[in-house]
Amino acid sequence: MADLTGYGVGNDAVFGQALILNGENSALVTSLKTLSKDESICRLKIAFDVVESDYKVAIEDSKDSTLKDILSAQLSLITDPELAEAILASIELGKSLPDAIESAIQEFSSLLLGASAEFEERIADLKEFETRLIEAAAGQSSNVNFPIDGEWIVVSNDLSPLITSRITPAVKGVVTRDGGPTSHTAIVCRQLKIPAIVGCGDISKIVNNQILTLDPANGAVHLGQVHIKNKAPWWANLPPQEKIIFRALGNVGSVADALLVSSSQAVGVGLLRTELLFLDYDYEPSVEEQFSIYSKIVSNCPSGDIVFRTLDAGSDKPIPFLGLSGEENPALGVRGQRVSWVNPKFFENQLHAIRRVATSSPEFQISLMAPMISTLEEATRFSSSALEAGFKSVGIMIEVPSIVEEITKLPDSINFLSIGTNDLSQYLFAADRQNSAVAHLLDPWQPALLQTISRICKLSKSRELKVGVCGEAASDPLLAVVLVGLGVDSLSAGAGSVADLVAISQILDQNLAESAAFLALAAGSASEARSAVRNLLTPSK
Amino acid sequence: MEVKVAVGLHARPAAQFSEIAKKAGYPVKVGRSVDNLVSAASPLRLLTLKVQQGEMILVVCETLDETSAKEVLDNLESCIKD
Repeated sequence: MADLTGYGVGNDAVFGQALILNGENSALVTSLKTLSKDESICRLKIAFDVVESDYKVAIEDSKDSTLKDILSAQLSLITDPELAEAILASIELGKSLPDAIESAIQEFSSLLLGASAEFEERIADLKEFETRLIEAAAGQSSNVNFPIDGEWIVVSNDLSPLITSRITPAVKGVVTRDGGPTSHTAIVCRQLKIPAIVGCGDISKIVNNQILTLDPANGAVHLGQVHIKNKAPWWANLPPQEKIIFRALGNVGSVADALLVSSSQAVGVGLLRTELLFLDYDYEPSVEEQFSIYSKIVSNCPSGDIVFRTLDAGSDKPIPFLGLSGEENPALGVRGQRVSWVNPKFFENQLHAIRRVATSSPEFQISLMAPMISTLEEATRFSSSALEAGFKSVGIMIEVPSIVEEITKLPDSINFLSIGTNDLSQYLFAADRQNSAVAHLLDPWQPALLQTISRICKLSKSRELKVGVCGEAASDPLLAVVLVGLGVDSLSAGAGSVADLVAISQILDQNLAESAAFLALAAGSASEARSAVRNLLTPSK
Repeated sequence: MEVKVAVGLHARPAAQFSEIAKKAGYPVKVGRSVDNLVSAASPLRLLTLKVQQGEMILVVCETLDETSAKEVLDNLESCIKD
C-alpha cells in the first residue's frame, strides 16, 4: 500500500533520502515542538551558531560590496544578544522552541511598524531569521544548494523552474505537493529523466532524511525502502518493422537535452523551446547573443529537422526582460505568441537570430513555429513574418481549440501543425494546469482530447499538412501508439523519453496503431481508454 | 546629537553604531528622552527606536571616565554623519 499517491513521472522506481526544501514546513515545526526545555535551549544555541556561520560564509563568498554590507548588517542583527535573550526568556516561560522564536521575532517586528518603509522592510529580515533559525534548529540547510553526493529525493510544495535547473545528479527523485501531470515540475523532471510523483497533496508526513521509495509507474510514494521490480517494456518483445510509420523526435530546451536526444537515434528535434534559455535574463538578448546561444544548442542536436518555437512566455512563465505584469489569470492572458505581438522588436530579432542559425548550419533543416495561435488572422500574420525573414518551412501550434476549425483555411505558406497536448487539454477542459484539484481533467487519455486530435488529423489530411504532437502525451509509450493510429505523423517527446519513442517507432505497424486508436476513442473515460490500450499491447497483464 | 545620515538610524548605521558602543567597556544607552533608553550595543533595539534623519537622539555613557566618554561620543557621532 502506498503511503502517498500522486501523478507519476517516468517509469523506473527509485529510492533515496528525503530532502525537504520548503522553508516553512509544518513537519519541521512539529518535530521541534516536543523538545524539552533543556533540549530547546541547546538546539537554539546550535541554531544561532549555524546561522551565524552561514552568514559569515556568505559574506566571505560575496564579491559584491553592497551585498557584503547588507549581509554584515544582517549578521549584526542576528547575533544581537537581545534576540537570543528574548527567545530564551520565552522558553523559560514554557514556550516550545518554534513558538519562542516566533514570539520574539513578532515582538521586535511589531516595534518596527509605523515609522517608515525603510524600517518596516527590516521585518522581512526578521522573518528570514525566524525561518533560518527554525531550519537550523531542525538540522536542515537553508540554501537551495542540492547535495552533490548521495542519493536524494527532493520533497517540496512545488519546484520553480529556476530551482529545478540547479538539480544535481545526486537527486534521484522528486515529490511535490502541488502540480499535475503537465505542471512545469512534471515536464522538467521528465526532461531530466528524474522520476517524480507530483500533486501528492499532503506531504507533511515525510520527515527530512528518511528513506523514500518512488514508484512512478503506479504514482506511489512509499515511506522506507520497498523493493520494486522494473519490468522489461512491452515493446521489447515485438518484431522490428521494415516500414517506419512515424518520426520519433525529441524536445530540446538546453544543450544537455540536445546531447540526450542525439544519443537516442531520434531523427530530429520536434520542439526547440527558446524561452527556457532566457528565464533569468533581466536584459533583452541581442540578435548576436541569441545567435550564439541557439547555435550552441543546434550544434549538439541530431542532424535532420529542427523545429524552433518562438518565445513561449507569459506571466506564469515570466521572463524578466519582457517586464510582463501580473495577471489575474495568466493561462488566459498575454501568453505564447501574444507576448511576441506586444514585443514586436524582440519577435523580429528572434526571427533574425534563428534565421542566421539556419543559414550558418545548412546540415540542419530548420523550421519555425508559433505557440498559442488562436485565430486565422494570427496564423497569417505569423507566417508572413516568417516568410519575410526567409523561412521556408513554417508551422503553428494547435493549443487553442478555436483554431481547430480554421485548419482548412490556413494560408498555403503554413506546412505543418504541432499539437501541444498540455495546453490543448487545459483550454479544452477549462482546467488549470497548475491546479492539482483538476488534474484528472488534464489526463491526456481523456477521450474528448483524443477525438479532438483525430479531428485535427482529418482536417489536415485534406490540406496535406503534416501533424506532429510535441506535448507530454508523446512521452507516454502507450499513448504514442494511439496518437499514431489517429493519424499523427511525428511525435516529439521530452529528452528523457525519446529513446523509448525511437524503440517504438521501430516495432509499430499501422494495424496495431489503428486498433489502439479505435479502442481509446471508444472508451467511456480516460482510465478505461488507458486500460483498454494497455490490455491490447501488454496482453499478459 | 543629530542623526544626519539619510536613512536615519537604519540597518547599516545601527550596526556600526552598536559596534562602537560594544567596545566602550561600559553601558552606553540611547533614546529620545531619559526615560526611554535602550542599550546602544543592541542593533535590534536601535532599529526599534525608528530614528529618522534629522531627529535628535540622547546618548548616555554610564562611566566616570570623561575622556573615554568623549571619545565614544565622537565616534558615535561620526558614524551617523551624512
